[in-house]
Amino acid sequence: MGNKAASGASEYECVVVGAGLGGLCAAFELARNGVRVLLLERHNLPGGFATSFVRGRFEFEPSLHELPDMRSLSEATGVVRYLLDDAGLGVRFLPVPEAYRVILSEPGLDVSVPFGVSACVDAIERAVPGSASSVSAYFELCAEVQAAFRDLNGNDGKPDYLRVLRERGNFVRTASATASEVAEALGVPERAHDILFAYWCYLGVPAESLSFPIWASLLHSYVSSGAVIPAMRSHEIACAFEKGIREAGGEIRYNTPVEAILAEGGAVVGVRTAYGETIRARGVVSNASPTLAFNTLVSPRSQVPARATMTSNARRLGFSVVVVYLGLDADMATLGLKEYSYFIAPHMRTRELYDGLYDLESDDVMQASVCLNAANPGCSPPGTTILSITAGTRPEAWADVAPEEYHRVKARVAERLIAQFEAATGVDLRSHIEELEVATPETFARYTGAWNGVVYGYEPEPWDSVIPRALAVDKERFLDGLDFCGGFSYRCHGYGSSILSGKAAAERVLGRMAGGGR
Amino acid sequence: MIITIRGRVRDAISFVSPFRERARRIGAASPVPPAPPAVNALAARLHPTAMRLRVESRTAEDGSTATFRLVPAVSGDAIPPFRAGQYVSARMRIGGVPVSRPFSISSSPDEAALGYIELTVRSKPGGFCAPHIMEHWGEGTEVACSGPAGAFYHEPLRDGPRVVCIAGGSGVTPFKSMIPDSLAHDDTELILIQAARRPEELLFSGFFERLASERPDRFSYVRVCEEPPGGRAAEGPEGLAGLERGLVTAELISRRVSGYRDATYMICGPDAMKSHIARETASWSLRPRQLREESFSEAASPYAYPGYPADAARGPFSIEAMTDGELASVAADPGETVLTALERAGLAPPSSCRSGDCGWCRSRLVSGRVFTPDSVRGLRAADAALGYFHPCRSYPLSDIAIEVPRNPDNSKEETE
Repeated sequence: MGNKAASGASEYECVVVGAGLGGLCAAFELARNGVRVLLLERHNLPGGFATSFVRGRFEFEPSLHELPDMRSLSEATGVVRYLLDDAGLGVRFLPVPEAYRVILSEPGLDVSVPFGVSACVDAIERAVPGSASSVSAYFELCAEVQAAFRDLNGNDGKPDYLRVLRERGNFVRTASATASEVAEALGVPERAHDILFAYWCYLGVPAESLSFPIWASLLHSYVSSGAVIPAMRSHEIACAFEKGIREAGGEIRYNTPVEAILAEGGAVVGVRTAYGETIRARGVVSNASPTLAFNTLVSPRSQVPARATMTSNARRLGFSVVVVYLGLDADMATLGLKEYSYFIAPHMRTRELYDGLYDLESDDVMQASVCLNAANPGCSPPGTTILSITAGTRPEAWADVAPEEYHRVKARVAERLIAQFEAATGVDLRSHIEELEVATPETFARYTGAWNGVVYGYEPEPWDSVIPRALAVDKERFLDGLDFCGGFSYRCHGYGSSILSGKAAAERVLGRMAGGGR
Repeated sequence: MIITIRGRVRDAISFVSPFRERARRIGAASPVPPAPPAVNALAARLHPTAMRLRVESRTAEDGSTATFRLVPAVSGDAIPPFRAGQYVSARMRIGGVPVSRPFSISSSPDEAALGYIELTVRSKPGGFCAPHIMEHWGEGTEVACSGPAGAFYHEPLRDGPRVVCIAGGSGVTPFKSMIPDSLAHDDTELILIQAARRPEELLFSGFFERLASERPDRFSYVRVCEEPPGGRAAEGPEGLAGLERGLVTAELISRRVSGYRDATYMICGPDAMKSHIARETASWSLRPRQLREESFSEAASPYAYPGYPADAARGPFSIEAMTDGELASVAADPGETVLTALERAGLAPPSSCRSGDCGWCRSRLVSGRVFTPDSVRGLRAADAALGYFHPCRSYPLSDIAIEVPRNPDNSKEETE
């Protein structure tokens, strides 16, 4: 157990607060680079949102829909390659069969979108004749943006700014644009736009205010290279990191909430756990969001600069979700399910869908549903199926729910989502439900401690998207020795971003250690 | 292709606009910390990790059974709303050994709003915690326990329109919560089949009689006893006219429950009763979704479980248990769970459901072998692949070395 100093306080080079994906990756990278690191987690499991839970004979995937594969892309980095090749974590990934099926009731649109850019363009052309040239151009632009991000991330560790300026002119021109501005500029027809924008809910910002570069990167990485899921739910990724940390000599303590990030003279000096132990460290990597850290953790409060509070107040917290987890007692064929991923909504007017997130009774509901067995036939016993239905929701919609009514409110919301899926697909779910569990912002707050149960990070509008965030990392650290990782950090949210943000945080810590300073 | 969004020149210089916008927005933001997050407050209210309660009253149900009404020990605390059928895990120290036991809440969620929950405890010969409780808990006793937990509850969205509750012994306690809750808040048709050896052992029979007469449209009550009434129960006010004799059989269920093949069955009682009912109903080909069971007994010895290795060593074994760098060596018997061995040694690792489901005791097997019955299914696939196990339903097959997480409850006060 680390080094116990005479005072009873222990000392590490770095403490990581929270074993979400970012924290796990940060601790792993620090440990394998020889840093004496301690990872503290309030829950009894690693992973944060990347976990699993068992009900009866089903083990459910709580949050992951799919990871963009990206291994087929030349010079691609990508999180799957990182996990397998770079980190060598031995996670078993299974391919997702197609991008998605989108069903919109108002325009009466029902289209299955395959992976592969040209196949995708063809499918949209069949549904919306005359759309191919503009949709192709849109993807071309997305590819250029993704290439520019690769240059900025650096193929060998150094950002290649010159190449971006010389060869990625469209990236520079669209860096401050929104996703719909670009679609409009290219003349993408409305119905094609409807099909193309299904993934907007993965970023959680209406197309009218969604930063184009991050959107382009997401869309292109999925459509061009396909997607994968871990064979044993996301808990497999979390456990692989856990094992990696342990084998590299890092320490993890579960059931150990951090009560305070201790600061003195503008620098972090350690943490205090809920048990009252003080653990000294020269660096702290926080998987807890800046909002959580600066409002509830940094102690004493006088060490929080006004600018830190202003920064988190200026940013807009992303949304949370309701997830209905269904263990069904029939196989996919019997149920009439074919696809893995379903985006179902009355329409694709993303601003209206977003506004609907504030109202639990709204009809403007978009669900993103996943039939796990389509990619992972062995995920449940023969003759059964796992289906999870996810819909965005603003935490504000749950703030006034009376505790006594909470489970009935959530059952009503779940019932509507189930009915929406049944109406869109013609599949009977209700008479096959063997296990049912419903997660709400309250559930996510309970298990992860996330501020208001937000599952996404800050909303990536152009001013708070990945590029402005990346360039502000040092400026917005606010306390020496304090780094952030996870969905609220500079790469924005999502599994891949959270993981790679942990690697980046570890690199910053290592860089300071190599420089002899903080 | 060269894209134009807002005009050639504006696009060329637009790259910097997000940075300017960022500085402007942050500069204009309030320096006042935001209000505490309401959803986290709701989560804390619904799912407290620990509760400090006090016995307000104790009511004898029969010679070996008592109901304890518990109220918050700290004024200002509230009882969390729970799902009818859930349990709390009560913590106590017996002879220096810290232990915990789950008890189904026998009062309804609507009563929680009045500020209390009730636990009904039956003491059996050879028991460990229940006799301790019967002896030591009285008015004013402080009780430390977990927040409500468990997945044995009626969910109208999932269950069919007719729910048959089958209870054996003190397994009736969750139904004492569930049936009035369902009657008050949904439109399910409910049948309670309560089994006991003798009529005087039928817990809460007066309560259920009353409910059945008040809500004949929704609730019917069937009592089944192996032995005829003896003593004063024979002269009970409600009479025992409807009493069924014998065991809960397929014939009995089919006679007393219309549409019995399509009903949802919720079963809570001793393992022997559950396997008896499984045999009785086997020919009906009930779907798994129609059968919901609560594990309601402490782990038995492992030897009779299918799959227990015939050549297993007889022990005793040793357990090397590491918790956050602190090592403890513990003696273990192959007939007892790893959790029991650790508790016997005074270690008090995390535990809650004690039936393998909840995963709160999740630990890592570093070396050696353990046996977990196939019927225990709460372990995650990746955990099984990477050497994790649930000590509450796993038995040592050799000397073992394990990693056990710290128990956050140990820093809180235990019940006397």
